[in-house]
Amino acid sequence: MSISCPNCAATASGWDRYCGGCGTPLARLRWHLHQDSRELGDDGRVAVRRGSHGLRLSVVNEGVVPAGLVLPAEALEALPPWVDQPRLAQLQERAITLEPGQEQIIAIPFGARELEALFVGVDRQATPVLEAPIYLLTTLCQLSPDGWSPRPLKLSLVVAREPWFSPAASHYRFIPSARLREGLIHRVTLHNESAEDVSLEGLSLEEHPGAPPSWAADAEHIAIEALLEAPPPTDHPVLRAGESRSFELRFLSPELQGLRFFSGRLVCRYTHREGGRIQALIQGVLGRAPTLICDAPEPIGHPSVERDEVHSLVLKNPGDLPVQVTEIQVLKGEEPAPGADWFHLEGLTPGEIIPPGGERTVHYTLALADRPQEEFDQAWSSRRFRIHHDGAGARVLERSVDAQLGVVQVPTGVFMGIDFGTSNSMVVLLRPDTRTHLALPLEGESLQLPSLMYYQGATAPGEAPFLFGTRADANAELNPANLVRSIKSVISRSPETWYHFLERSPEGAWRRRSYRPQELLDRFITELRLRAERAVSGLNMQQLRALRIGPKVRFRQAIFSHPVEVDADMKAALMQASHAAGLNLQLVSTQEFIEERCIDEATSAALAYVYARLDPSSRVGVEHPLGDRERVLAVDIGGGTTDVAAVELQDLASFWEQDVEQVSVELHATAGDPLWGGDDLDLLLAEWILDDLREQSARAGGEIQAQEIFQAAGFRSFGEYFNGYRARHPAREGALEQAQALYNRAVEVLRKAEAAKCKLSELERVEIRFSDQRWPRQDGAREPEGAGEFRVALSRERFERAVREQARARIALLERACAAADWDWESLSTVLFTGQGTRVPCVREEMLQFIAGQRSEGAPKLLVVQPQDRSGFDPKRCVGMGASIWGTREDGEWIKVRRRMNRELTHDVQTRWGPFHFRTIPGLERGTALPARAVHAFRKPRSTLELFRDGQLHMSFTFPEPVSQVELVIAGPGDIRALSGDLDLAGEPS
Amino acid sequence: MSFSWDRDNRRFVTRTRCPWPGCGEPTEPFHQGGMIGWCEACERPYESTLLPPAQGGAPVEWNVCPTSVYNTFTGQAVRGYSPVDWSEAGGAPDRAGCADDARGSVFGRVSAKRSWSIAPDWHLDSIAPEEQNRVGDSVAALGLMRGRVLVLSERGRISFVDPLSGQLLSGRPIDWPGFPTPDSENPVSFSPVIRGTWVVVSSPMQALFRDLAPQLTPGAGQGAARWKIILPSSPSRRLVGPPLGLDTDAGPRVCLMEAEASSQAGLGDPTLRFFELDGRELGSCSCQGLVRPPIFERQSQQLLWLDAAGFVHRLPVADLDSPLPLPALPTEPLLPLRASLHPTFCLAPSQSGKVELWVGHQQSDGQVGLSRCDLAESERRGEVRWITRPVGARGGLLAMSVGRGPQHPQNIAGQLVAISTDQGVFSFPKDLVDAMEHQSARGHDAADHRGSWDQPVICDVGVLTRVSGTLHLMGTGTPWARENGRRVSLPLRYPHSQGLVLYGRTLIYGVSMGLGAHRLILEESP
Repeated sequence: MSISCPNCAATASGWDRYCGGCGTPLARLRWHLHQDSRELGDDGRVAVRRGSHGLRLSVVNEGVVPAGLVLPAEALEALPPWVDQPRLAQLQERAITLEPGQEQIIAIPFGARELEALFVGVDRQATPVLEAPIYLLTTLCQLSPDGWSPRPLKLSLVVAREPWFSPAASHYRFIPSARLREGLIHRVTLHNESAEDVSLEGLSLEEHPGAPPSWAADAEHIAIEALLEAPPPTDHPVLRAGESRSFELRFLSPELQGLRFFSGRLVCRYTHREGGRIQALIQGVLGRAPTLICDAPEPIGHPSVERDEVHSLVLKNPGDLPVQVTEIQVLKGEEPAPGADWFHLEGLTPGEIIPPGGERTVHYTLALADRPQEEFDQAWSSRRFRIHHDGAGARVLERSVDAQLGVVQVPTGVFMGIDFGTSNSMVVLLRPDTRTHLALPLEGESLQLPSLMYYQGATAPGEAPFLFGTRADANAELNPANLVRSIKSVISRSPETWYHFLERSPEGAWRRRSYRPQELLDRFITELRLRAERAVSGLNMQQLRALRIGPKVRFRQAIFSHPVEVDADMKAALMQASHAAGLNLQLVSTQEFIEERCIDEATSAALAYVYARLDPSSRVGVEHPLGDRERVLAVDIGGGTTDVAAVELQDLASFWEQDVEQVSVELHATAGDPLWGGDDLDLLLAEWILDDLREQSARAGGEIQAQEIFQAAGFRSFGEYFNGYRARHPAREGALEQAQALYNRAVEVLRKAEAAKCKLSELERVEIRFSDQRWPRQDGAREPEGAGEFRVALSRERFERAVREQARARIALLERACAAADWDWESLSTVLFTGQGTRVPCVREEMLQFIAGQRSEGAPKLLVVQPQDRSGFDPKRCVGMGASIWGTREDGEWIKVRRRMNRELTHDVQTRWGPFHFRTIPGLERGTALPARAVHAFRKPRSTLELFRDGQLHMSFTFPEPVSQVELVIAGPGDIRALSGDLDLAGEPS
Repeated sequence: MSFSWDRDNRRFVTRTRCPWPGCGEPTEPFHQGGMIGWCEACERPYESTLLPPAQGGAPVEWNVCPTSVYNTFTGQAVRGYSPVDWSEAGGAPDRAGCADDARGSVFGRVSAKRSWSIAPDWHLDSIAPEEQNRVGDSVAALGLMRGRVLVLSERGRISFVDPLSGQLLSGRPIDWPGFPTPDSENPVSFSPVIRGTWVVVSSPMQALFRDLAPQLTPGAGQGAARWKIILPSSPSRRLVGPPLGLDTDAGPRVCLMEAEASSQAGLGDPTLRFFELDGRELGSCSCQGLVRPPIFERQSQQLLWLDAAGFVHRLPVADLDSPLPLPALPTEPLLPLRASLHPTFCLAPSQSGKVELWVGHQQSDGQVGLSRCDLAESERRGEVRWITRPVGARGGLLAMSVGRGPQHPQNIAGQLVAISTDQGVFSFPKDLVDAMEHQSARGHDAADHRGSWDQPVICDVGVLTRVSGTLHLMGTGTPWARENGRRVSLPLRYPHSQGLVLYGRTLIYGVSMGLGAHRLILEESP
């Protein structure tokens, strides 16, 4: 039999007595007097009246499993003679099983004669037993000092023979002071159930020695007379037999501080034969009731909320007892507010206790970014929070928070392109029907936001722990280890890398905070979106009118640029970040996201070039007449990546002459190096600088750790560097501080190297200065006395020589793109250089020199668009611009973009044939068109397969069972699957 | 269904029944607490509890479904360990690696006509949804917690899996709360300590004490999770070795071992730190020279450890706030031991009350030696007399299991001992009279490591172990000992410890980020 627990719905067996999931009793026995309105009191006492023949008890099983009852023999042994034991003994020791919902009537008969004798002709010298405790044992359990035993249902039958007070004892667990002020009345009834009248002599209050309950052990004592009015005089001194009379005692309302305990008794003296005295106990604790209050008005209004705001509320417990928060609810209407919402309540969690007289400051944040879309058309948004507690009164503190967040427009017809670069990022808006494009100022007046993040550590509630852009750069000097550089490169290289940041704890010790690159990417893309929306609110009316949007917008769609060579992890990471920022939420598959909302940077630049060529106000290629077929080789050297795209433009001239309505743009091929970019030139300079510094410091007798610093410069994050450092120096004391010092110096050297790189484009010689103090030095090396400085001179000649060498190594990309597009060099009409790396003149010169060498002298003149060529083509914004154009392609307004790529394998797919010997799998050679398929057979069945690329482990497979052969299917870079029978396994990247 | 009243013992009586919901078939009573039961009708294990009698009455025997976190007879929250939740390999107080089923409930009577084979049962691809998978993460250890398989990954993520169906019970892995989780350089590699609804997971840089009641109890999800993170006491130190659960008279306690990170085998300047289940630290005790993870002896309530000379050190656990070790028990001649974090020091109590200490070690000639001594005898003499036998196996010693319980013919588990080296896994009769008569299991020829990373499992059908490419059942000492064991194929990839636990007749092990299970099948000949 399978049963569900009514409390937690856990499945229980029919033989269980308690729930195995929550401990709740599964059998619940309730009892009352049968056909009698009187309920049993908590103490189970029942008055036995004169002339009664017996009691009928009704026991009901309200549980979900059967319960057992038994009247044990020992329960009968102690019964007085007025209970008819022979008749009751019929039930003795007989187990009664009560099925769920079943009721059992148990009759307790009285001996009429014995009972009557207690009321007539009482012999007070005798001590008859007036109380009959009786109990039934149940199948529930209790832990006694002797062990586990059946839990009893107890009943006490009391012969109401003497006058008696009801209630005989009153225990006020806690009386709030407020109730005293409202007027609290204590009612007592005096029953005369004797056979004769009694004469009352009077009522009085007396102190009764008592101790406060354990939970209020510190309560001070208060005299009963100071708390209760004196009892009224008895108007009718005679209380007849069978009569009951009620008295009301009014509680006073004294001014009290703290918890007070009172213990007294109401005494009634009466004359009844020899006279007597009865008393009723009155005990309790009083004080101010615990509750939660708050000074904030209802509702709390926040007009004109323009940016995220944090407000605080002070909750107070004015009572004399602690109050515990049991539940916190934030409601939108009557429904719980969504998880990510503009209203966040912080600083209080269920279970927290606020001490008597204590205060708790809680904060709530109004976060505009998390506002749900359905509220965009409302000027005011409202939330209600409820803090439930276990105090007095309604036990809930609630307030409404109304915030004027404003009407927000979700723009349509405007396309947002995001150039998410390694060094800088940009956002460009394009409205195709009005031919309006606009790069948004993301950082003050600047259109570019440096792709930097700085962890500033624990801050005030609601404040973000990260700084972005130039603020991050400016703060980086405080603790360079907390600067995130080149986050895009880190993701493309190692998505599993941890970013470790350092912050000072309140005690002054350094502690680490760790983030995944994905978390940082989410935050950065979200910041880009927020800045773009803020930038829109700062546009002038003319710009807004041209874009046909209002000043308050919420972007839902964006097109991202990405390097040519991206793997599946990078694509998924970009999509996740896009979703985290609330962009492109309707695209849930990575493939769809990449196809619909992403474009590689080189192609993007080529699209921007098309736009510039057709813009009458642009000077791009004014000396080159428009043709109907133009082949453009776009070279984009960014901070960390190098991309080349071969794009063919058709019908440019016809469009200009208005003979056709569309320009056709065909992407023929792309090629890229995901591991080389402008930052590598900085690293080159950093190496020279450090070599020079090492020599200078060695001469001065305190050689610096140049090699370690250079190693640190090669890492894109402190966390990545620290992990490696710790592995190399496992036993080193203070490794964290040492690694931090090395990394800080590395960042400083890199920053100066970058500045020098820019100057070397114009100057023949650049000198850099460093202080000679506080450098990490070799063991035993000493710090020079007195502050001095190191001077390092860099010459343009040496720099150019090295840069040309590196640029020549990338010329293969141009060849690959042209070969994949099936172009001959003669047909090339335009070379387009974009990205920060192409701002170094010798890089461009090297590449142009190569292209010129491939073309005959009679070839048409090549149009070269490059930075600083005064053509008006903006190499900074062209990628973002192209991305936004990519978004318009489906509108078909004026441009038609198609991919016609000869996609092919860019490397041989190999297996290991010996320790240093690799073999290419037939059918998976470099240049094979994608998707490529090949069957690989093992010499004997195997459970694993490892694939290599240029001798490096590239991808591995683990099969559940050994297989003798597999079919490998390669759909794209990093997308390799192994098929064998029903098995379909995706490779695990190395 | 009805209750009857036992008037002599003053209690309600029902027949002992299988406690699994939906079954309820009558079962044979044990008259003994803390036993594993086996329902022949539904073929599932259960736990038999003996509750203290009231006022001289007979103790109440109550069968509890192992998934319960509350006792279904008393309604009290479970705080101790469950006999069904065996295989706490690293955290079991005795580290014996033996299924404690001396009554033979699960596998039944021993007979030459009965033998056992291994058959595939279920397979779970991953304990995490695809989008939650982390590169490089894999299952590192297993435990059984209230009838569920508790799966720990190297990064410390926790999942629950139903041991009978292989169904994932937790939708997504439970991550460590609000703190950097163990990274790939400092992964979780030892089994957790499990007591009641609390689990303690240790990694070199941090340990997690967490109450998993909200995950174990269907209706308790609203409560805030209770947890605490413990860090090494200084940056140069690490938490090393498996955590240890102490079942003291005052309730469950946990012992973590800490040592200098730079030391040989990670055991320089070792310290034992003691905690309440909720992570509150009680005290600590320096234990210079310690060479093996310590063990706990329940009867005498003592924590035991060894030093490099083979001396036995004892620490009474009555006062862990200020722990004070007893004088060490010396040995003559010395037993030279090299430091090792692998659990190769264990305690094998027998039902006759004799408690034996076993330690595995590498001898100077490269062979593995096993030494044992009688603890009570050693305490009486004031010195330890180690009996050492070389067992012929070669290779670096990685793990050891010793059978518990009496050595009578019906208790197969009590007669076996097994060791794992990097060359293979070897099982011997426990008396070691002829240690050369052993069975062995070796991993695939292509594997670098041919032994088992996980502690072998000793149970009433023999020694169960996993090596690269195969799962072995070795029957040394059993009536079917002439057979050269049984084995089935597994994936070859077995790069590190992935956990091996036995639940009833189901053997569960980690495979990459998922789990596999095989079932022991009875083959009865006429």
